[in-house]
Amino acid sequence: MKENIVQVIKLFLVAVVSAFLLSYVHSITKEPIEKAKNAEITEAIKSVIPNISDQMIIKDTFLVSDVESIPLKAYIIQNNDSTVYAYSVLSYTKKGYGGTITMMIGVDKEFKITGIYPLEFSETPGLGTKMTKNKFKDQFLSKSLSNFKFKVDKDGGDIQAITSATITSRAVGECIERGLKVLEYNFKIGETDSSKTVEVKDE
Amino acid sequence: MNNVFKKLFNGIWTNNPVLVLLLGFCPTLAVSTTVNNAVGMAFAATFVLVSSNIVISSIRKFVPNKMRIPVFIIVIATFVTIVDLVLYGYLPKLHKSLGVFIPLIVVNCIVLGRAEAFASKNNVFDSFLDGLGMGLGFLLTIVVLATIREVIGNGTFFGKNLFGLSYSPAIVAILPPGAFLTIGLLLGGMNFINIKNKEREKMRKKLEKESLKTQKEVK
Repeated sequence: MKENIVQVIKLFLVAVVSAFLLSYVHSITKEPIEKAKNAEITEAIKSVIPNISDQMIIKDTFLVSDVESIPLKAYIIQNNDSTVYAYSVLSYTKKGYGGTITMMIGVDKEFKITGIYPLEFSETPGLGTKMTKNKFKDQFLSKSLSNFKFKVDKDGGDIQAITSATITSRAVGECIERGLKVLEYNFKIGETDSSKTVEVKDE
Repeated sequence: MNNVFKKLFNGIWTNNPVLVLLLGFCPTLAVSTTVNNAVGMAFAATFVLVSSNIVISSIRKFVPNKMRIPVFIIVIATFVTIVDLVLYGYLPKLHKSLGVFIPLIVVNCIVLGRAEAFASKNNVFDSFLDGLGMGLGFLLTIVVLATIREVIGNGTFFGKNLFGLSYSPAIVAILPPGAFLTIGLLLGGMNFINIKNKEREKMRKKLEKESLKTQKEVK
């Protein structure tokens, strides 16, 4: 009995020391991690939207829509005179080969894709990760929901799949389609009826 | 000094964790698709291996025998989390490309295996050397494996194109089957060298005996 209690106390001590050490490391690395995340977002927006200048204002909002239950984070890029220059949306898919993929998708005012930028993914290194290469990404440029089927060629769509990474390619297609649908639902004027409310929250 | 070198060499060649002890195959096979990832993974694992070996050997008398595995896991998991946080904060690109394999260092058999088989029975300095040697052995193996796979399967080395655009790579090398094929060949090569060495040793002993005999007979 006594032996057991000693064991429990010793294990507890080890756990406590380790917890303190970890919380210390966490407090040091918290800021750099936050910075790395923000830098990533800014870099992502800059790489999906061409000719973006420092004077432009980036507003972030959450978009709610019929097509998607989870609100997506979107960024409205405005000119100095607060006219819209472009949109970008942080879309996701759960159908990646290694789980969730999130990507930044940039579109111009006509909702044509100006660039995509994968942010978080755990695809197979060397295969699925080829989705970050221009050779794959460039096929989406200036495509929109009306002139492109976001399915891989095997499924009768227009996406040229990456060799031996069909699942990843399919997931990327789904991810882009979701982002575009949500953007068009919220921002496309004319085709939307007035009953839909556009929820734009400034942070 | 000679002793130190011997201990390091033990991890790098004689008891190479991957090729001789056959431990830690999962990360070895999974992360060796590019040399860059392999080097990052190996350094992360070596850091965890060395630090956990040091800590475990220094608390080995405090830890009750029945409780040793949970304690080892807590120590290892702590260091892995530190590596995870530091990489995310300071090397976000590498952190991203290694992805899930950093947290999985916790269950890397090399780390727990050395903690159990060596660090829990030996002093701090020896455990440090053992961890470093094993880490270097892991580094060497995974880098050789990744070099072969990346060059054949992607035509690149450290991301640099080697053969020009006309080369169409044999993609099988960076697919999972390629990992098994390559590791099989490496294991075979390692055994071949070791068997040859043993035979040579035998021959030499035989020759020595014979020469002794003849010397005696001459006398």
